[in-house]
Amino acid sequence: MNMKEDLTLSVRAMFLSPIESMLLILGLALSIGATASGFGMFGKAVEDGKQMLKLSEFREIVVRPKESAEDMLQPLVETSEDDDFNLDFEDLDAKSVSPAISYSYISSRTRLRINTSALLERIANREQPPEVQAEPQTEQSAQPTSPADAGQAQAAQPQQSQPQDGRPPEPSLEDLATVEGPEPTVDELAGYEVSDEFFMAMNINAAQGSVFTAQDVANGSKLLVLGANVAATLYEDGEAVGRQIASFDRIYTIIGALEETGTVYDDMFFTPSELASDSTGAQAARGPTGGGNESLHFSVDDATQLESAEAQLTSWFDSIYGVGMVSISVPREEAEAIISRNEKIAIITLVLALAGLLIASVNVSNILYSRTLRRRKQIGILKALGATRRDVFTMFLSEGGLLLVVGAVFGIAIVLAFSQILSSANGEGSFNYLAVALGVLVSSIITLAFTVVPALQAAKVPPAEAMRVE
Amino acid sequence: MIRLDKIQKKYDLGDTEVAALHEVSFEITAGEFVAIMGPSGSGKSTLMNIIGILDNATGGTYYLEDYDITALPDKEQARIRNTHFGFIFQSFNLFPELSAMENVMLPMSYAGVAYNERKKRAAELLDQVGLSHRMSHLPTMLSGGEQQRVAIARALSNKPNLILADEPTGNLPTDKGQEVLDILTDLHKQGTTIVMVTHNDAQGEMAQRVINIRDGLLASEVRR
Repeated sequence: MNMKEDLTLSVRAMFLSPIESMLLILGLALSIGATASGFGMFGKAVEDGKQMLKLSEFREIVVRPKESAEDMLQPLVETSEDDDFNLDFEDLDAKSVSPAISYSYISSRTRLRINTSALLERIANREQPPEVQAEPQTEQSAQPTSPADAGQAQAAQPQQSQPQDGRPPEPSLEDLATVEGPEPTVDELAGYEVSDEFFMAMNINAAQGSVFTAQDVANGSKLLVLGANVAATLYEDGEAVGRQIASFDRIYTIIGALEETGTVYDDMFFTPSELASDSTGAQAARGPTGGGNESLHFSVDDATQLESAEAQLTSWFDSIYGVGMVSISVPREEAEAIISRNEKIAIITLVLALAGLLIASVNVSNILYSRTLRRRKQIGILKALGATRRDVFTMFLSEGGLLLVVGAVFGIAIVLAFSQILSSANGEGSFNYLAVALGVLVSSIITLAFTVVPALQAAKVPPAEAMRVE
Repeated sequence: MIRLDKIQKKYDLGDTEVAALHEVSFEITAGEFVAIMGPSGSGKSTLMNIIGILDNATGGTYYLEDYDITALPDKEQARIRNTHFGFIFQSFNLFPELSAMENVMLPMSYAGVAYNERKKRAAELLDQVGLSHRMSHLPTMLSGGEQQRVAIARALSNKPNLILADEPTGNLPTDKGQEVLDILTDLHKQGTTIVMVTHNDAQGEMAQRVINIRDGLLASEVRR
């Protein structure tokens, strides 16, 4: 090592008091690690907040019938007082109250039960009288040893159950539609009944096939558009578009698969809202999916206009249904509250970490100062041999700097450990690494600033100390 | 070479002032071997500090080669200590963390000598003082006499005009002390100026001139 001898001296002195040096490094590592993590978390909170508010959901105003919005909060007795009123498709006309609103759609959650052979079989069994049911079951449990026989049994059973004709409340076999082709891998899907402008409001395009049109919605066509994950997994061969699915007495045609969005929509299907086709027939047809959870969505291009659009929509709905009959909410406001809370938590964490850093820095400063006191004679000798004040200052600052570099390396290791712990809880990327780097830089500068004081003290030791005899 | 003109040193102890030196004036010419003698507290250490610019006088003027260096900035003073003077201390004052070689190299690094050059010169100097077999040893592994010889090599590293030795044999047994004195005598013969503080009369007699200090005053001067 071609170091100047006084730096060699410093480094060796540090190894000669290893416990002191280790404690200093540990303190620095913990505080730099905590500070950098604090920066990382704060950076992440800000970044996530920005990312979140970019989503189309947060440029919407959502309108729901009052009782469905308050289901969670109000006792059942009270909500049941309300007369049974639902918003309907015509209410989307409210779009015209504000030029800021670009799209509007109706949406309600729904499920799709698929008439798989397993379902057909289950219904067939249920429709048989209990004493008869016992026999085929034992037969069946014996049969699946050969796959061909099992297939025959499945094909045969629907015929067996046909004469029973019990008319239970559940659909009987003859009401169930069937389709040709390969069987879906699941027997139930979750999704939404929506009107056509949903896709434009969410800015989701079809990756394959197409989405449905206003005409499809008006006609009440039985169409399905699948989210990216559903489209990829519904059939074993990964091909979904163009196939048909039977659910109860209806047959749906899959006309499109959506591009991946990274949201829940990837796991959902979309079908034209039956509320939209014709309001009288639709109400009756909605039986199996369960109605009443529909909401109207009004999407704005410019988020700053949400508030005025909300006010205009409120007065429109109040004039039609009476004051307070519908609930109008702006998801963005709730999201902003959550984001602001997350940012505040990150700031508090950061402040606590900085407090730790300050304490560690003061400690480093103190120990370096006490080293200066112990080494007065050594400094005197260095000066007698030709060291300038600046040389001594540089030497002591380098000692602090060396502790700092080693501390920072361990500190970064701590950040990575924290990041591991957080990502096992929160998923990938719990830190903004640019902010982590900034945190390491800031905490290093703070610590270095604290080593300047003892280094200046050391530089001031008079050379005559060399002559002092102990 | 060095001329002190009415040098004063006063220490401020709050409400009272204590004078360690009262207007001391004398001259040291190049090539001289001067001994400064005096009892403890006489001010001889203070005088030594001022000659070596380890301390600044509170009055009077210090001429080095006819230049007034009484109030030079720190950087200039450090450069003079580094290149013009070589210090030898009573308690050796080697750095225990550094090997004999590195101790000798250290003053050269302040003079800006390149690493390889420092190393080469340090090896030559240690060879001169008879320690070529001890170069990589730490001071704690060396005897007192060996340590003082390393210190002499260190003092010579930047080829100083003046060696300032403060009781160089004070911590050594007589025979080892004699070795050190022999080295200093040799250096003097080769033309190096030497100023040595001692309270050993026999050592004083080795010098060409003895300056006696009493109570901060120059009491007597003996030339041989």
